[in-house]
Order: sequence, then C-alpha cells, then structure tokens
Amino acid sequence: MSTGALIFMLSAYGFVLGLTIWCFARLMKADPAHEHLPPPGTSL
Amino acid sequence: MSDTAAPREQWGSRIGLILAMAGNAVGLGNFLRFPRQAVMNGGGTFMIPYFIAFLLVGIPLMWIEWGVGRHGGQRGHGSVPGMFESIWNHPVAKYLGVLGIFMPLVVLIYYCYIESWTLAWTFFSVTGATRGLEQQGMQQFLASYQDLTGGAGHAAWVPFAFFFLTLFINIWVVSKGLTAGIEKLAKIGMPILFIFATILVIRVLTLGEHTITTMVDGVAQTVTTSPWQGLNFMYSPDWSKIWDAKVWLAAAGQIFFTLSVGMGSLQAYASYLKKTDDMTLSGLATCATNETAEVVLGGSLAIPAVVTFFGISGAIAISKAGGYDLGFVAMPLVFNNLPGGAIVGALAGFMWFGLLFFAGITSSVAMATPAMSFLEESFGWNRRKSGLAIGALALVLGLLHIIFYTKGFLDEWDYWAGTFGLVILALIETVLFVWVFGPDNMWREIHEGGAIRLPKFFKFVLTYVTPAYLIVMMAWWTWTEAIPTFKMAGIAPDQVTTRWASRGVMLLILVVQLYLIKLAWARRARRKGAA
Repeated sequence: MSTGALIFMLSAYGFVLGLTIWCFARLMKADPAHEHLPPPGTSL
Repeated sequence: MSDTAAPREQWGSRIGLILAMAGNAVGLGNFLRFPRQAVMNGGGTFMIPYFIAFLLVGIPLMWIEWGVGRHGGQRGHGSVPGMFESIWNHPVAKYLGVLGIFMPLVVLIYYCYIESWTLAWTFFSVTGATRGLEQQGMQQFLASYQDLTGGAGHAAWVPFAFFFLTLFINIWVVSKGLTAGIEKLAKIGMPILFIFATILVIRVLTLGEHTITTMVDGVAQTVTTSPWQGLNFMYSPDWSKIWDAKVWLAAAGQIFFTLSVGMGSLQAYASYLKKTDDMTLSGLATCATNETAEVVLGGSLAIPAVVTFFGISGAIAISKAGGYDLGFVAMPLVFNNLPGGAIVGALAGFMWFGLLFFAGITSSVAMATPAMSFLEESFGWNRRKSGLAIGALALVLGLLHIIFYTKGFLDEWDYWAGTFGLVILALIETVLFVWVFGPDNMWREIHEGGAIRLPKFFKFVLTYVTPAYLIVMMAWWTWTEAIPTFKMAGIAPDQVTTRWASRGVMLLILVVQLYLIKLAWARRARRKGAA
C-alpha cells in the first residue's frame, strides 16, 4: 500500500473505532438506572 | 392536541435501543454503496468531506431526530405529523409531517423487494445455484431473476416467493411489538451481522497474491493482485477531487443514506424513549456503530475482494455498473474462486448474503414503524391489524415493483422517496425543531437525561451549520438531479409510461395519507369534544 492510502485508511479506521469504543465505554459507566432494573429491595 | 398522553410501550434496555437504532441505520448501503462512492469520488480524499459531513450533518441530524421523536412520543405521537404539531402549533405542521409516514412506507415496499434478493441469494449460495458460473453467466442469472424470465436454478415464480417470505417476516416482527419483535430482532441480527462481516473481512484480507489476466488499455496483460491492492485502490488520495463540489455532495449524500436520517423511522423509534432516557451518548453510539459497520467492515470487503480476483480495471468496471452488480454478481464470483472448494464458497456466500439480509431487515422493520404507529394511535387499531393492513398494501404495490422492475418503476420510488425526499424532510424538521421550537428549547430537549454534555460548539452547528448544509444540498440536488430526473432526461422511451405511472402511484399514496391525517385529527377533535 502507498503511504498516503495507508494514512487515510488507518485514520478512518482509528476515528470510527475510537469513537465506537469510547461511546460504549461511556455507556457502560453511565447510570444503570436507565436500564429497566427493579427498584432496590424488590424481589425478582 | 393534548400535551398529556396515555403510556406508550418503551424499550426494554438501552443496548436493545442502540442496536435497534443502529440496525435501522446499518443497511445494504453500508456494504454496497459506500465502497463504490469512495472509489468513484477520490478514494482517500473522499473520507475528508465524508467525515466532515458526518460531524456537521449526520450526528446533528441524529440528535435532532431523537429529540423530535422523544418530544412527540411524550405527547402520545409515534409518527411525524403529530410530532411536528407538538413542536409547531400550527394547522399546517401535521400535513408537513406526512413525509415522515409517506417516505418510510414507500421505501419499505421496494426495499423489501431488494431485501428479498439477499434472502434468495442466501438460498442460492447453499443450493449451489450460482456455483461454477462465469461473469457473463452470473450477470444473466441476476438479469433473469430481475426480468422474471427464469433461468437455470430458479423459475420465474421464485422472485415472488422470496418477496412474500421477506414481507411476511417483516410484518411478523413488527406485529410482535417493540420489545418482543423489533428489539429482539436487533439483539439477534446485529451480532450475527457483525460476526459474519468480521469473518469475511479476515478471509478477504488473508487471500494473498493472485495472478490474473486483465485488460489494460485494451491489451491483455498478466498482473499480480492482492486485497491490499484493493485497499490501496480505495484509499489512495486523489487531491484533484478535494475541491470538487460533487464530491462534497456525494459524501453528504452517503452520510444521509447510511444513517437513515430524514426518513421518519428514527423519530418513530425515539418516540418510545422515556423523558429521562439519554439521547446525547446513545445517539452518538448509534452513529459510531453504523460507521464501524460501514468504514471498517463495508470498506474492507467488496472492493478488496473484487480487486483480488478481477484487478483494478475489473473493479472499476463493476463499480460503475452499480451496487447490485458488486453484491450479486462480483461477490458470488469471488466466492466461486475462493480456495477450499464448494463448501467454503457456499459458506462465504451464505455469510455475505446473510449479513446483507440482516442489514436489510433491521432497517425495513424500522420503516414499517411510523405507519404502524400512525394507524394505532390515530384510528385505535391494534398492532396486528395495523401490520396486516401495511402488509397487504406492501404486497399489492410490491408486485408492481417485481413486474415492472426493468421498466424503472422502482427507480422512481428510490429517487423521489428514498433520495430526494430525505433532504426535504430533514430540512423541514431541522427548521421546525431548531428555529421554530427555538435553539434553547432544542438544546434543553436533547440534553434531557443526557449521559454526556455536548460541547457548545454543537449548538452553533445545529442552529446554523446543519440547516445551511441541508439548504445547499437541496438546492444542488434540485438543480443537478431532480429537475433532469423529473423531465425524464436520459430515460429510454419504453420506460417513460411506466415511470409516470410509478409517480402516479406515489402521488396517490401521498394524497391518501394526507386525507388520513385529516380524518385522524377530526376523529381526535370529536373525541376531545365528547370528553
């Protein structure tokens, strides 16, 4: 591959993969109250 | 309309919501359209306007549509007419929103037909119907399927059978409801799609070097090819195209199609959000997931595989012939040539068309949702009755697409509803949500329950840049494409009558939907008066 093509390809892959990983990492850290979990103390 | 509403169904989990939203966005275009657009618009340099459009149009529109949808959903509206009225209290608002039911319904009908091809080719891959065919034979196989003449491996009735089956699966899924149907499909279909695509990308990129005979300047030459040459071909920057307005518009268009914005289906899904549900991060995650499917997986599959077996000139010729040739002619030929024989070829074909089918169906069930919601909420129909009504309509009109496919019937719907109409709806909703509703209200609505706070820069983008981008896009497309397309420029004379008939059917659907909106509002007014 030419250097130019490699730079463009890796930049594109890096941007979208980086954004995706960041988003899902933040989602996992975010408040779990958004999931439909039963209130504390409720029996399942 | 009342600002209070009966409780509506809600998403079962956040991951289900994001997978359903991403499933809506990830479609056939991620794997068939994107690589062609990149190759034809400057390769690596195409990625510059592409990502700029992603940041300035794609992501902002995703937030706008989630905002419009949730705002409407909180007031009992699952489709765009009611959503528009909830942000602009004007009698015209609901009629402008007709586009948010019209376009997804129209696209659903012809998209189901294209989706049925992927199901058919999954079947053909397993039965070996395309095994051993050369390029001309493969093209004839596709052509005979499209023009219903029948051929080796399939009879003339087969396209109808696969269309009925595809439509039945779609209606069955949406009739099951939000969590038991759509969300469950996304939770199953999206992982399968990503697994199949990842396996195929690894297989394609490990193909190694091949020696092929190809025509260079009309002279047969033996050349060495590899998948890396394909990636090089796709990403080599052509700086002469970076200031070409067509390239910037093509990039913005691709972002539009790939994220499924301007359709009405994202809003319908977002209407099932709770007031406290996050939209900032989840919307961004939806965009990012789609881009991973498009750039990393879609961009590493078809073009590298085709270049390996047909060379650069072959890939250019196939790309120019269109996305269907790339997916349904070139890729089966690639699978026929894979080392490992018939079983490996059949398995690769099964995975390729299987992933296209899941990409298609997770989008088409989203397209059915606005019309379903409209019928349920406006006329009190249950989900099963709404599904059957839409299924029956899609069945009848889908037959027209199958019968008149080669006469351009489908192309008309694809252009006016599936291409040009998207920009019109996106522009209208942006103006209403940002300018009429007000930038501060819009910003507050998007951040309600937000897991992240967006940089202020995006408020400026949403208020000024995105609308400006859309206005330029619409003006450009109107001048360069819509007017010539309307005048039937370059259309074969034997297609003109069918194409006008196709437009007539579309217009009839639009008029009927406008009338249904009028009826629905009159019905609500009567009920409100009686109460």
